[in-house]
Parts: sequence; C-alpha cells; structure tokens
Amino acid sequence: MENLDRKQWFQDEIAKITSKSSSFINRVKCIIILLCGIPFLFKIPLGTYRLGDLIVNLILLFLLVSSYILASIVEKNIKFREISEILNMIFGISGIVLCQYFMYIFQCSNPENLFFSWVSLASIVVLALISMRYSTKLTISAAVLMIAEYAILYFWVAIAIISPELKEQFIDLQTAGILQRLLYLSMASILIILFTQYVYRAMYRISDAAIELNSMKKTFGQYVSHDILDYVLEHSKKSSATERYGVVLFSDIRNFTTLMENHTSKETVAKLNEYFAQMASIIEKNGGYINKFIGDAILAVFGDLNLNEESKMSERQKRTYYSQQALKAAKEMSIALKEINKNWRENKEREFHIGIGLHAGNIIMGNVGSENRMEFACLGRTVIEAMDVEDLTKKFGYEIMVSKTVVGNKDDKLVFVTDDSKIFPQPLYYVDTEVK
Amino acid sequence: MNSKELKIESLQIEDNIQERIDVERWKNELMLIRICLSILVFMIFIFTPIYFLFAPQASTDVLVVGYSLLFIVCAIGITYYLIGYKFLSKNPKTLNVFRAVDITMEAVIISCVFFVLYQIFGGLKLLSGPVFLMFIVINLLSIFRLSFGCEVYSAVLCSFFYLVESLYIIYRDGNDCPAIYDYSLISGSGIWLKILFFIIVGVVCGVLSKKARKLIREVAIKNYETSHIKMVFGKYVSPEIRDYILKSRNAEKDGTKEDFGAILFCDINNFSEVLEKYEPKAVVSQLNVFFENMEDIISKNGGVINKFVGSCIMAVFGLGKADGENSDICDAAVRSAQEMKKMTDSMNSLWKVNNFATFDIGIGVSLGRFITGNIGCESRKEFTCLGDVVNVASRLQSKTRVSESAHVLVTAEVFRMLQDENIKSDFKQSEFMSLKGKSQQVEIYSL
Repeated sequence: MENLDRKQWFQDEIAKITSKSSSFINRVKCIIILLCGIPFLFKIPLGTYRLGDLIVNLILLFLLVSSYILASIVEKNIKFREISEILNMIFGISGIVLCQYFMYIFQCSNPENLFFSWVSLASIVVLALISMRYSTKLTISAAVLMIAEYAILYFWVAIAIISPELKEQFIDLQTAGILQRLLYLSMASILIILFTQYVYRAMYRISDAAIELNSMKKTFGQYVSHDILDYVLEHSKKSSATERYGVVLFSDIRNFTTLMENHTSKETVAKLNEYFAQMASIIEKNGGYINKFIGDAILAVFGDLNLNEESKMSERQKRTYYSQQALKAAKEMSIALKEINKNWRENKEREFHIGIGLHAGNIIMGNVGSENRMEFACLGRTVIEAMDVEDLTKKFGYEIMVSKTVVGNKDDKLVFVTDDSKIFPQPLYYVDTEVK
Repeated sequence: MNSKELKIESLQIEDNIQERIDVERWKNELMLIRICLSILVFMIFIFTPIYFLFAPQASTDVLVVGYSLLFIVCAIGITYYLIGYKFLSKNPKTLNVFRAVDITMEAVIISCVFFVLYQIFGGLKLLSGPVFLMFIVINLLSIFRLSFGCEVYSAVLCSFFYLVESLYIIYRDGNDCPAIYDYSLISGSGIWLKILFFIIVGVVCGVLSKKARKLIREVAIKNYETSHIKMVFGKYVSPEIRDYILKSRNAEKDGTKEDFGAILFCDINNFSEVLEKYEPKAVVSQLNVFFENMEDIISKNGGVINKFVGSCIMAVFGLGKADGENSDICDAAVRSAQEMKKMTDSMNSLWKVNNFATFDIGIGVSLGRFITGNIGCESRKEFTCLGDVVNVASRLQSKTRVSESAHVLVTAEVFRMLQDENIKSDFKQSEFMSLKGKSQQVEIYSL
C-alpha cells in the first residue's frame, strides 16, 4: 500500500516537474534549430542554395513543428507524455544526423566539413535537453541512438562514398579520428546519463523525505494532537504559556484496575483503545481538544486553541458556545458508551462505567517542562477542580456532573444537586442521561 | 522583537540547509576528482602502446618530445588530483576555493593535453579532428557541481583556452598549410561556431545543474523538517519513548508490552493554593525551572519521564530493561526521590528570599508489573504505563498531602529491593495504611 502510494506520488512529481521544464526545453530547442537553419538561408542571395540545403531546412522545419505539435498534444492529454517524449527524442537525435547526411549527399558542403563540423555539439545539447525529462531510460536510449547513428554515418561516408581523390587524404585523417570522435561523444553521453541518474536519485530522495516527513508529522500529531501541532513546532525552543477561557472535560472509568484484573495486557489495551476511539471522535467532532489520556482518564478542553491570537468572540459568547459544545460532547459520550456496553454485554465482556466532570474557567495552556522534555499542558485551578467534579460523580452516583460555571444563567435540563461549599465551592448540577 | 527572532531562526534554518547542499556538493566534487583521475590514467593506458608502436620509428624528435610532454602532463594532473582528493576529503570547508581551483585546473590540464597533441599530430589534424570535443567533456563534468556559475565559468574558460590555442596554431602553421585556414576560420565549421556551441552547452548544462540543486535543496528542507519534528517529538515524549513509537508506528499492533519497574509520582501538593495566590505566568516559569531540575535528576539516575500531568511528574525506572539488569532500579528511584526533595528545598529557600511561591512536594514510589503501550485512537495517541502499580504510586503520592512529616513514601516491595544500606537506613519504621481503592492495608515506608 505504502509502496503504491510512493510510486504514484513519484510519477505525479516527475510529471509536474517535467511539465514545468518542457516549455524551457522547447524554447531552447527552437533556438538551436533556428541557429542551425539560418546559415543555410544566407546561401540564397549568394546563389548557392541547393536541393540539399532545402532538404536540411525542411528537416529543421519539421523538427520545429513536430515539437510544437507534440507539446500541444501533451498539454491536452497527459497520457501521451511518454510517447511524445520518445518521438521527440528520436526526431531530435535523428534530425541532426540526417541533416549532416543530406548535406553530404547533395554535396552542399565538403566531406571534410561533415567530419570536422561542430554539428555533433548540437547533438550533445539535444542530449542534455533530453536528460531534463529526468528519465534514465530515455536518456540512455537517446545516447545509444545518437552514437549508433553517428557511427553508421561516419563509417559509411568514410568507407563507401568518399570520392577517390579525397580517399587517401581522408583515410589518413579519419581512421583514428572517427573512433576518437565516437569516444568523446560516448564520454559526454555517459556524463549526461550519470547526471540524469543523479537527478533521478535526488527525486527519489525527495519522495522518501516527503513520505518520512508526512509519517513523522502524522505520528507526532497523534501524540500532541493535530490541533496544536503547528504551535508546538513553532515554539519548540522555549516554553511559553497563555491563559485562555475554556471548559474542561474530565472523564474517568470507574474501578478500572479492579475491572481489568483478570485481563491480559493486550486485552486491556485493546478494550481501552476501542473505548478511547469512540470517545475521542465524539470530543473532536464537537470541537474539543484532547490534552491527555491519563491511564484510563481523558482530559479534554473546549476552548480557543489558537494560541497565537485572541479570538474575537465576546466573553459571554465564548461561555455559552464552549459550554454547549462540552455539554453536547458529554451527553454523546454517555450515549456512545451505552452502545459499546451493549456490544460487550452480548459478548459477555465486562462493561465500563464512567464519570464525567465539567468545569469552566481560565486555563493556563502552553509548553511546560524542561529543555529536554516538554509537554503541552493545560494547568490551573480549573483543571484540578474539574477532576474534583469528576470525583464527586462517584459520591453522588451520577454519570455527568457540571459546575455552575458551565451552566451559566439558563439551565434547561440540568438538575440541581448540591450547594455545599464544603464539598465544592460552586453549586453542582447533574445531567440526566437516562433514555426515556 | 518577535519578527526579529523569527528572522534569526529562519536564517539558521537557511544555514542548515545550505550546509546540507554543501555536503552534497562536496561528495560530488570528490566524485569528479575520481572521474578526472580515471580519465588521466585511461589516457596513459591508451597512449603508452601508441608511443611504443610509433615513437621508435619516428624520425623527428618532436614526436618523442610530444609524448614525453603528454606523460608529464598526465603525471602532474594525477599528482594534483591525488593530493587534492586527500586534502578535500579532510577539509570539506575549503570546498568553495577548491572548486574554483579545480575548474581552472581541469581547463588547464585539458588545454595542455591539447597543446601536446598538437605537437604530436600537427595543426591540421588537431583543428579539423575531433579533439575539441574533449573540452565539452570537461565542461560537462561541471554539471555535478550544482551551480550555474561553475558551469558557465568552466564553459567560458574552456572556450577561451580553445580560442587562444587555435589562433596560436593557425598563426604558427597557417603559412605552411593553408588548409588550416579553410577548416578553422573560413568554412562553416570554424572555431567561432564551435565556441558559440561551447557557450550554449555551458548555459544549458548550467540550467540543468541549477535545477538539480533545487531538487537537492528540497531534499534538504524536507530532511531538516523531519529531523526538527523528530527533535521536538523527543522533547514531548522523551527520546527513548519516541524511538520506540517510531519503530512500531507501521506495525499493526499497539505495541503493548508487559514490563517490570519502579514508578515514581511527584506532585506539588500546594499547587492549587500557589496558583490562587500568585500570578500564573510567574508560576509557570517557576514550574519550568522546577521541571528542568527534576528532569535532570531523573534522567541522571536512569529514569524516563512518562508524562507531566499538570504539576505532577510520572517517571518510570527500568523501562525496557531485561530482568537481570534491573536490580538497582529501586535504588535509582529512591535516590532520585531524595535528590528531588533536596533540590526542591534549596530552590524554595531561594524563591522565598525573592518573594516567589514555594513548592511543597510529595513523592510516591511503587514497584511492580505494568503494561506499556500506545493508547488512544487513530487521531490521538498517548504512550502510557497502565497497571495497579501506577495507581499505588499515585495514591502514595496523595498520602503525602495528609501527613506533615513524610515527603517520600515507598511500598514494602521497593524497600525490600533496596541494595544500598545507606539509603535503607534513612527510612523510618514501616506502618500499615489504607489506600484509596484498596481493600487491604498496605505496608508503607517513609523517609
């Protein structure tokens, strides 16, 4: 699965980069073609423009037009990219060699010029441009094609067609020359192929690095929550904390250790994970941020987590907004737990019973810890008191209990429990979760 | 202020990335030296048989001189590259200077070879022959230097040497052999076009190497980010646990394991009163100092901090150790507890003088089997230790809130496993206490 993703990613990336560079390749190619073609046109006023020159110019024109047509086809349909690359390569490499051939055949230039000319340099430029497609296979086949064509051309011209008068002088000049020329051409090709291979490997390293980065981000995000990932990465050097209003949700499984006494570690963790998965999705769905799993307990915060800037909501809006979120989440958690328990009951497994405490107030949020070991923590009285509220759910025997701070002024379905300041400094309410 | 800090940070990142690119370039430069060396050695191999085939029959001294010069050039080149390779591989920092010298040296060596070949083969063959392609090969080497400037510099240098040498050959031999004029100056295949193409090849390859540099840069940026996240990750879940998590991240299982060790809970008992009385920001910065010192002590004694819960620290001793190696974990845990208490006292005396809050800490240590593993769901996970032993330690810690004198409480198992008699003698007589959530009374030792 991962491998497949990577392959796909790699293909896409290459296509992206090539499509960017292909316009550059085309432009350079056109300049070279024009550069090759223009000298022939100077022959027209001199009256030495012959059939061979015409053919050469036609070939160059064909190269120009074909590369444009191929580019426009690829632009419309990316499927033809590979075919057009291959065609472009064959046209580009063969075109230049063919030009030299026709120039010789129609005797518009001396055979000496054919051998001694700079035209092979144009082939090297074309090869370099082909290497810009970042495909080793393409570059290697282009290089092999180029060297083979040159070898055929040189040997054929040198051995078969050379005019008898020139032959003597030529053999002397060229027997070593042809081999040397091919040697240099192949050296240049090998360098370009090596370079393509190098670039290709660089691309592979990018894909590796990107996959590693994504996976690292994902894993890290799992451990500090994706909500605060960016904040944490930005403020990794120093500890920083801000105070924000929020509602703390603290939930705990009752008698978890005794409950799990006869279970193996694997079973315990599997069961716990099933429970956490449900609860976490509910909390996150309702806009909460899970700060921590503490053993079997969940510490979540409903509040403004954009720590870099203050939200524009008024104090009152915040209160009702976050309280509603938290209350809704708590109720849904209780309903979801009933579902889970129903399943477990059918499988004759032990059921979970939880207590949820909600308390609102100012929370200190930020990086706490030492240079070597940090934690994104939610601190303060509010958090401690939320734990106390949760603890009181056991005493009173309710599933969800909330303090006055969360209830605010309007209390719709919340039932008053106690106002004893010895038990808790604020009036407490419970949420009726019985299904009617 | 903030933007300035950000700027400095981004500059540091830039430096870091540049460094990585330089390492890449350094590797390439070493590779280029190896290529050049092999070309020179190859040349010696090719020309030695030619020399022995032709030179003895040669009537002219020029040929012998030419070949000897060729060998001398090759020898000088090989020595230069051997010394350069050794030097560069030891001093990567000299790369920038070395690169410029290297490019120049390549061009010089190749033009020396060109000149020597002129002595051997004569002007006509050289100017009309394929030897000029040598310059292109040398120029192409510079692609690997990943810099537009290097490539163009190499191209300009090559064309300059080629031009000068060609003009010199024409000047020397032009009168004897008029064909040279035809081949090199007048006809369409003259040196001018060759030089034009040298420059074109240089520019095209320069663009190629610049693009390659961009790719390498992207690799460097991604790697930097990954290592940055990895570093931060280590800060948030301790490096040992991070490595454990990263190892098991692709595995299907949660990576749960049973382990045996000592759990230490340390909390600030008066934290909520402190928060009430003092400015939260000041308390947080105090807390940071506190955590830093505690972390030092714990890691010094071989413990791992599993998590901070508010003001509470949960540390584990003996995580992932084999049964044979963990006989001293209780000593380590109790020793850390003692040191933590001592350290807090000394910090408190300092804070008291400066009118800061003082922390009243309590520590509980227990020993036993627990489960370690990644708990949570797809979107949010936590590395936790679960088990009765964790609860006991936490309960012991809360016991210290009630008692005035005892700041460190340990279970009987911990006490029995202590090996250091000095530590053992510091403990008071044991007493039986009832712990919350435990039906039976538990034997507890206090310091």
